[in-house]
Amino acid sequence: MIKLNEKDIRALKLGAIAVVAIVVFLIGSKWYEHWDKAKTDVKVLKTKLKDIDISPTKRRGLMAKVPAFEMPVEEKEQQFLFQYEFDNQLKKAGIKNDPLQIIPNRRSPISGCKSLHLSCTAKCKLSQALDLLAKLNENPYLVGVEEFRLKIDPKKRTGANTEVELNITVSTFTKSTPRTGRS
Amino acid sequence: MNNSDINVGTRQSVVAIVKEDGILKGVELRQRKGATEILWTRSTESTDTRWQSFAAECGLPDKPAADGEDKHSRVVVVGFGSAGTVFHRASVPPVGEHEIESIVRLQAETRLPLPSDQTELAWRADPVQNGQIGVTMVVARKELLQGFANDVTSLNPTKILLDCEGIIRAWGTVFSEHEKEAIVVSVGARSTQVCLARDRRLSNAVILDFGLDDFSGQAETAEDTSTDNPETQIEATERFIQDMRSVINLFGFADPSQIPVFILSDNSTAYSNLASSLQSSDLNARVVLPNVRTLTAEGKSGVEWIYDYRAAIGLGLIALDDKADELNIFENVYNPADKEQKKHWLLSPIVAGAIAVVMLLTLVIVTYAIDLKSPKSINERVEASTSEAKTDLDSLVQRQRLIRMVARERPDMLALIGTINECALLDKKKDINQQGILINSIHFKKDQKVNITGQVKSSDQLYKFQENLEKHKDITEVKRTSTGRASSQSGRPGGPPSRGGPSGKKGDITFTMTFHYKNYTKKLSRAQD
Repeated sequence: MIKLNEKDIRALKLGAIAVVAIVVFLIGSKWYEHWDKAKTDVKVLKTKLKDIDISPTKRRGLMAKVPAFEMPVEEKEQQFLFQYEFDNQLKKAGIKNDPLQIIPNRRSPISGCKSLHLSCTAKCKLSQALDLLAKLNENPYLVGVEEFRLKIDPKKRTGANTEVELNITVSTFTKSTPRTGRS
Repeated sequence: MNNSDINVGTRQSVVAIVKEDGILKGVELRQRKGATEILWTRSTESTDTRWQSFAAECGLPDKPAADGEDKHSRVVVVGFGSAGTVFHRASVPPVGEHEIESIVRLQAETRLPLPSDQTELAWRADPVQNGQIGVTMVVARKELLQGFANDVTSLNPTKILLDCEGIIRAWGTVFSEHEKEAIVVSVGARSTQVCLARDRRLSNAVILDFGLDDFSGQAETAEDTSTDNPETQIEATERFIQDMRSVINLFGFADPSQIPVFILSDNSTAYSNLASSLQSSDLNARVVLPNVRTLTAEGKSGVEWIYDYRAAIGLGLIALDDKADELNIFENVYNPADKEQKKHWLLSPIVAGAIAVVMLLTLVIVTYAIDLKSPKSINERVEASTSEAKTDLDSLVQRQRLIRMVARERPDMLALIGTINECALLDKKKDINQQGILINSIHFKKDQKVNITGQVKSSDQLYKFQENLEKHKDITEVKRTSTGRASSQSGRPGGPPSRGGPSGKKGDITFTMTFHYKNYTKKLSRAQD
């Protein structure tokens, strides 16, 4: 058997330490990479939670403005749902309107969404117009009022029964379908 | 009592020095590959050599090792002659160490003629036997111990041990014959140590003021006994036998022939004669010689040589043995400069470091596990908290963003009409019908100014109305774009949107105004939101 001197033993020890260090480094770096990804995931998640978690006061403010909300769906379905709901609201208010005019594919400030407008023209009583405005927020598909025109015929000004010309354009979001490229 | 509170675990060699009959003897021992090696032996020729001088001869430093130097490369132990000590044996019931200590101290005080503050006591308990614990006690005058400690302080010994402990250790390790219980006799020139050994440990000891010189009357060494006076020899032998019988009785053996008596010997006739004398008086005595194979040494060897240094070798062997439980009568008297107290294992830096590393690793693993588990757990809780199936956090975030966006994009038309009406109340205490402001149209469009048209009876009313609009927090940049006179009857008493009173008469002032309502009509501001 070969007899090792102190120098050889020291070299072997250093070699063994180096091997262990390399293995630890390799495993450790992989492990750290995994951990780093997990930490990033947690960070992203916490940011998302922060987005959702709002103060009760703000929540009340939001609920007052948007008491009902449905996530937008594909344009055709969304158009149908929005039109149906808005039409119902007009009927409930007792407004006999001209056929609703659809203005599709408008740009929206939200990525992944488009804006669809519905325009309504009607002659109705002032009280009916006010009823419609009061209940408008209950439409879960409504985004906002884009245009509103109320014109009073001075000759028919009779308080709540005053005849008005109502012209209102309301909007909704639709889910935009991603374009598919041709090969 | 735990006497092994000096950690010498990392030493390389031990230098043991002992004074026998006034001659200083030193050896250096080393343990190598399981065997004990004698590196050197040295002794003084005269009896008046001082400890410090002898230490210098042995190559020991005259100062304690400084911090940073290797304090344990060479450990020094010094033997204390047992002449000034008194041994006692006692039996105590099997109780705890503290209780034994109390009992031992009480017994020592009752047996000793000196007050306890003038003496030092060391004790050692044997294993329990027949429901009793045998305790070996050794007592010495404090003054004597302090004097000796002062003499040897310059050597900076790690331990000061009783030389009779060295004798027993040497007999148990180096000499050839052993018994479980035996009396070991180490005869010097002017004194004799008679030690009772149990399981090769010192159990009791008596120093007889009688040595080889007393046999010869004038001879100086054992070899010179051939020239001695026979009468003196007979007298001395009888005295020795008598003393030995008394000591054996003192050790608790009623029949002296029961206990084997080993006389340590260098194979000279003097020791054989002593053994023969004891045998002739019915004592079970025999000589024992050193086994030269038990120790290795370069250069010197031989029975006489080992015998000559038996006490020093024994002390060195004790110092080399980490588990030695020696009687440390100098515990309160001598404090070595480099004494390292045995600390609790928890206080060890290695243990503390290991615990710290383990805790750090645990922290890392726990943090990692939390980081790994958190996203899944949060998602599960989110899913559990929402009524809708398959709602994940991303959907919720998207929904929340959309709701916020909708809230920003949704102007309240009722509030706008209400605001205009509120501003039309020129005097809030009076009935609005008396004011005569009529709003004929309101036109709101995102990113454009609100446009209103109406009629007032007088310019003052118009200015007041404009002022009210300007003061309102939700309205800015109010401008009158046109004014004129109505040419015909414009209406009946009516209500909203102006809730104006009867007016529209010919000659009323008509107006058109524009203003911004919140941020809905400001293109740039809304884009920034």
